Amino acid sequence: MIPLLLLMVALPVLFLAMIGVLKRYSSLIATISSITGLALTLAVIATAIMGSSPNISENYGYITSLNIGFNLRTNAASLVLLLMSSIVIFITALSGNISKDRERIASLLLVLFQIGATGIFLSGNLFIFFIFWDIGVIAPFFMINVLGSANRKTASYKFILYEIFASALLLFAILLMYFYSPGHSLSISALASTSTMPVGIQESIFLLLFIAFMINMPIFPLHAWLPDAHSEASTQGSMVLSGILTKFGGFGMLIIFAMPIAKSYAGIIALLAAISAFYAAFLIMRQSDIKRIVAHTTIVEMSIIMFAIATLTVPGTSGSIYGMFAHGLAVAMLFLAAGAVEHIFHDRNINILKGISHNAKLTAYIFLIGIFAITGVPLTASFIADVFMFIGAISAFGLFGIVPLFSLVLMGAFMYFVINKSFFANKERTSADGFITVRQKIGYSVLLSALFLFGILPFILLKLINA
Amino acid sequence: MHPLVALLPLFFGGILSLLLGASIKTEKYAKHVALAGAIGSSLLSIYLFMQPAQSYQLTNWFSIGQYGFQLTLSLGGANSLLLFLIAVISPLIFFYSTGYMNVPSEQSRYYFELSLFTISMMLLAMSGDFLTFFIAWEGLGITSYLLIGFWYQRDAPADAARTAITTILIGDIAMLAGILLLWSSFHSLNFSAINSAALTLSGSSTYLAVAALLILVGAFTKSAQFPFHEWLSGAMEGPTPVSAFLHSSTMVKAGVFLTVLLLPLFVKLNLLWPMLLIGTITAVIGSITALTSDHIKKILAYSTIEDLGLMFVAIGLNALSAALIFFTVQALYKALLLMSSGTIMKANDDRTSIYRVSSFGRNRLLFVSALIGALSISGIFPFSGFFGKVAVDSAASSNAIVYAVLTAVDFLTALYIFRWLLVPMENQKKAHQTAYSAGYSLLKKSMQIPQLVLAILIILFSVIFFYNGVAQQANLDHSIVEMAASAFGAITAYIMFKKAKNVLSEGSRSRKILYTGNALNLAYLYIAKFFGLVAHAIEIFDNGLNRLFYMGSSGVMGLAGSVKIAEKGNINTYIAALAIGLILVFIILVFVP
Amino acid sequence: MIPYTTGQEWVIYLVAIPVALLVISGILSTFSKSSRLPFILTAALLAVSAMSSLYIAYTGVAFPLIHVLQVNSFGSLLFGFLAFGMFMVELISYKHTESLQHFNMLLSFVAFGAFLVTYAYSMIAILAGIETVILATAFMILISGKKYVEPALKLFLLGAIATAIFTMALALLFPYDSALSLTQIASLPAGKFLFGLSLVLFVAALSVESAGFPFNFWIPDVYEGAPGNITALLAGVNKKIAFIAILEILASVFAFYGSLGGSALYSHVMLIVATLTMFFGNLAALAQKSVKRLLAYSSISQAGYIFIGIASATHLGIEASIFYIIAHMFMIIGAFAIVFWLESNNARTLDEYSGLYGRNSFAAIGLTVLMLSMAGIPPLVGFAGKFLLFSSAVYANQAYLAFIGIVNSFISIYYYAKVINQMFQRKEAKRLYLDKNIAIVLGISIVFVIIIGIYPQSMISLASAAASALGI
Repeated sequence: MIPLLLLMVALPVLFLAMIGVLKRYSSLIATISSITGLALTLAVIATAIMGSSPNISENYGYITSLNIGFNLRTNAASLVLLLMSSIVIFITALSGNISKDRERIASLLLVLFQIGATGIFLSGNLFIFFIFWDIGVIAPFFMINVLGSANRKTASYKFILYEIFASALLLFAILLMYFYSPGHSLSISALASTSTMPVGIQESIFLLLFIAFMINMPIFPLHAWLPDAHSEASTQGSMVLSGILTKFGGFGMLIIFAMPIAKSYAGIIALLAAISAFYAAFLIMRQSDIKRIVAHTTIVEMSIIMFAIATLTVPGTSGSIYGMFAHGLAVAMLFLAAGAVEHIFHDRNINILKGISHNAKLTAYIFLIGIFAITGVPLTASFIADVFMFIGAISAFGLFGIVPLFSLVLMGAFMYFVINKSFFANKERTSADGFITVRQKIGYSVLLSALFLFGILPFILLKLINA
Repeated sequence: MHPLVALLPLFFGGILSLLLGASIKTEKYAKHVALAGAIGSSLLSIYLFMQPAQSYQLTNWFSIGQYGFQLTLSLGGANSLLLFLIAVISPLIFFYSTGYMNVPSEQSRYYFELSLFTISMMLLAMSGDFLTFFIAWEGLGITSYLLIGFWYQRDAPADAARTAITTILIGDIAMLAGILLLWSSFHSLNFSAINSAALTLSGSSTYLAVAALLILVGAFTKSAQFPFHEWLSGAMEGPTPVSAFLHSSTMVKAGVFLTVLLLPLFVKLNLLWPMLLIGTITAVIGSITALTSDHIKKILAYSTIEDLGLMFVAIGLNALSAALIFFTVQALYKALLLMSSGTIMKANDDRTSIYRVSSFGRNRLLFVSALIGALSISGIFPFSGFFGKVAVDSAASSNAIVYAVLTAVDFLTALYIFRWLLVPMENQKKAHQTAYSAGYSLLKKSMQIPQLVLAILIILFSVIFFYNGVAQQANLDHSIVEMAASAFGAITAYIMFKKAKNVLSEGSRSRKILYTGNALNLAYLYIAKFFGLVAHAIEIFDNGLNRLFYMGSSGVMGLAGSVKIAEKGNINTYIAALAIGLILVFIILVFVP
Repeated sequence: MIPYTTGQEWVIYLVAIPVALLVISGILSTFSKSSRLPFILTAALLAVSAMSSLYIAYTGVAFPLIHVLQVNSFGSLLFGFLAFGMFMVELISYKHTESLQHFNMLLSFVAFGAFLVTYAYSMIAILAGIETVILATAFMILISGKKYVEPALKLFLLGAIATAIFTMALALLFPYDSALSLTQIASLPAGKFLFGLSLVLFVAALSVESAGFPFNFWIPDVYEGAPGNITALLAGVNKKIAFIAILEILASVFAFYGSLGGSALYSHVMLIVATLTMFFGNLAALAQKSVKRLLAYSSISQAGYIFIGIASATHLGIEASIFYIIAHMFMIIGAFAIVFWLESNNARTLDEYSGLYGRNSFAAIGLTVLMLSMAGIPPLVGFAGKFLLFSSAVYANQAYLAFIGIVNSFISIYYYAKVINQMFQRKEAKRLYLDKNIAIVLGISIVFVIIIGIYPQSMISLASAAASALGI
């Protein structure tokens, strides 16, 4: 029996070392690492489908004296998110670094991020979860701090402070969990059976974890790090930040909403998520930086996903998983296109950019399709997600359940305004200086086909999710 | 035959024409390929139209719990009627396009988008459930966005496309919300299942009422009903064949079509009155605004808005057959009229104002077909438009107010359409004859033949109506009233625009009073401003929030500064601290138990 | 305390002989003209004593030794690592120290002092060891040059005061334990107050060296004033020796005061010390411009974390403290090695650190890893240590202490990020070349930080055995 899950976490370490040792080929190694990750993910999914259960687990000894194991396990959500993250990382490695800016450190950070992301979705206990969480946060920090654009220093500072604050809360919750759960179990599945703990402790654990994940997702009022971080990061950084990092929080939310105590907070959290969706949708209207605009759409989408998770219904939860999958792909595509725009026109301000479609036709259309994808147009994966999420929401909250859907109107309207203003109306044209290569074209086409594949044939993922 | 097969020729035609665009040499064949596809699909659709009513379950797309989300196609009834209309008009549009689209480098994109648009519309016509319908609906929205903004290099089309897609987006999301609410009540999205389930409903349900209203909002946006109608006049910035298609058998009919499909549900929920109300308002606004425009195509756009309002009036009165008759005849005359406008523009160097173009020259064919179109839209017997108008008027006879309004609308219709017809002809007379005839003599046959075909069809449909009894149902009283109103309108137009030319011309006071577009645009602007203000307020709040976190961190930094005071670096400090520490420890020892 | 084992007493020679040779060679090296041979000798002997001491810890033997000393896995483990730390300090000192011969001698005294403290059985040995260490270090600073007189005197003075307090505490303890041995007092006669006072004075005296608040105001000045290699020694070895003494005395003599009926007092004192130390170190570090000073304050706050483990007074807590003492030694010596190297290249302040990545990427990445580890980012060793410390606090029903610790970890990321931020600035500057020795030390630290961070169990087992040897 091949320890697939362990390999998924361990192999990138090897590639990391290779990039550290070899002076050249770093970008190639990162791409190989991401392809390996993708192949292993597919293998795990194949195993899960053949075994007709998404639950695969591997346990290794770790800190035996504290009864903490190195437990890896998969479930429906983690398989789906793994698939998404390995596709996104693959494309990020392949096409993200358009301007070939400091490839070595960029590749190093990307592989480091791969370890973190894979580990989070695979982790079977909270301790491992925390370790990978921080790896997954530190790598993007450097993607902003080292590789980012003009305001990268402030942005990375903000990012790291918010994220480390989240992980501090996470750590405290883990400690509480460790000492109050029966048999000192940190197992993630043990969260579902916390009802024997004192109510105060359950509440503390839930709220600490909730706030930590809320920062990461991010949900109003703890969202302020995101627009800066996403807009100042390198293209690769933005892609993984928006595509994958925000899903850590979503994945965490799925975990903690299995806690019995979650029921008593679900209503208020759903309200908060709904407010957050509209809040961010309004904020988009005030943005002029194309990456900031895309970043704010992430808040809208993640808030809707949060809303769906808080419904505590089966369709809502399935929908949120699907939603995270779809959004990861779509937003990675949008950021890839935004990165291409920045690369070609050396600007990101929509008040300055004009007539992008003239010099970068493909990128312009990809951006347009990206907008379709995030506004939930049928045949893209987001549509399936929206249907599931809001059916869950309706069954949980009745008529009010449908309200957050309308935040998409605000978001979409402004996005079309942007598309019109900077991409398609081209009476004046910003002069172009650069072009995209076949690597970006592959990136576009892979993400595009994944979006449509899982939008047209949803049963592939639903089979996993519903199992 | 499986209905989806009918879409294949168009699909392949579209894809192939896109591929042909790869080289400028092959691009000129794109139109032939696309036209072939359109004709193929049209023939297959007509074949499908002949088939008995039937529904085809495509697949169970996905399931939630035990309930599946099936994709279903359905033929028969309104579905087949719409499919037939598309089948008749789409090849004509493609044919007309081959003459109209003469920019060599844009051929393949144009035919690709047009083919996708047609496919979406055909799928919409065939859809047997809400899910299929919504897919086609969104497909229509997106392809229409691309087509309206086809000349995106100019600002006006790009802006028009944006207005269109924004309006459509509102409708789409409202519709999706409505669909999901419907599903949550019925656990099915099949139209017939929804309708039969609706019949067994007892009592009123706010839940369903909200769902139905949301769906209605969706229908209103697509079918350009007040207050969502402004995008349609902007949509005229698209290529004329697209406008002709969009305004006749596709796109704008989608909303009407939906309400037809769900009529039993709306009846059961007592929600016909919004359609009646909005339809009436729209018809009035449309017909009045049509009078105030100079744009040769926009006059027709407002006319379409009015037509659609009339259709909603008919549905709102639960007069399904009247609605469907009007639905059919409107498609024919509107396609014809728009093609005529396109031709006129083409012959006049793309000038658009009716005061700056001259019409027809010596081209009698063109004149006759345009005249047939105008007579048909005015509801003059025996052209088929007459039967549609009378059917709607008869349905409204029970409601005096609506009836009066409709009669007035009939009058206005004749008035504006003859203004549309007569003013350019007057220009013709004024101007030097030969200067204008040149443009008309250069016109391609491919642009004129479709008009002729449509003109013939308009007459043919009258025959059909006689043959299958529609004509016999027309109430004589209402016919007389309708005819009188129209004739009066036509005569008024003749007097006003033939004799007193300055009425309603640019800048006239009467026009300012009648034009509602500005007010509405102003209202939109204020709504947008309002949202902008809210956004601004939220941004200020957000900055404050940021500031708060910043203050938190600078508070910590301040604390850090105060800790720094300890850094004196002299030994006294150390020893003093040490002593204090010891004393404190001592105190703890003594006083803490 | 675990019972002594019999047999295998010879293993002590494995350590005693190298240490003795070290002292001898240290004294002799002052006569040598070249610095190369003494360097090789000192480094080799330090390495050998480290290895053999760790071997003893591995065998797990325990036996008394000439009444003032004893061998057990606590002492041998910590001496092993301390000797290794000194080995690293010796490596970084080689190129940049003026009179390495004298430095070597003093370093050998420090090693001897460390030997006395770690292997102590009697309090006298602890006193003698600490005194040796402080004096030797003060002289080390003094001989480094004229401008180092002030820090040397400060260290000397504070060391003297600490010794005075320590002696006072010894005197107070004398009535209860006339042998002054590290065994638990069997019964507590009247005069609990004086006994408690003795405990408090011990803590105070040792806090001077181990940087417990408010006895640590001298730390930043001396750390900043001393040459970088000696700062590494101060932070990496001297401070740890003081902690070892605290652990020995508290665990053995006072049994954390718990079985003697005074645990409330004990936990109050320790809680306050831990909390104030952490906050003081972290908050002061926020406002620093000089990297060395920043690291000095950071090392104060790190001492605060170690106090958390001591405050819990449980096996887990002591185990965690031991783990963190060792972990922090590696981190801080590695960090100060870079500081020392940059100091010799005239880079001291945060601004001067800017663009380090462009000038020498290994140093920048290395310092980044070490700082992230100090900030407690997994999977680095700092996180494993902090997790142990915080969990021991929760385990001892001091969840609030864990919370304070976590808050402090959060604050600390602010100034570590500041340094990292600067290092990765894009700037055109001349490349700098890292000395081989410093690169080796940095490499060792990083490898330790990463390997033990990823798989901490081996180290935890060792620390656990050491804690058991203390009898807790």
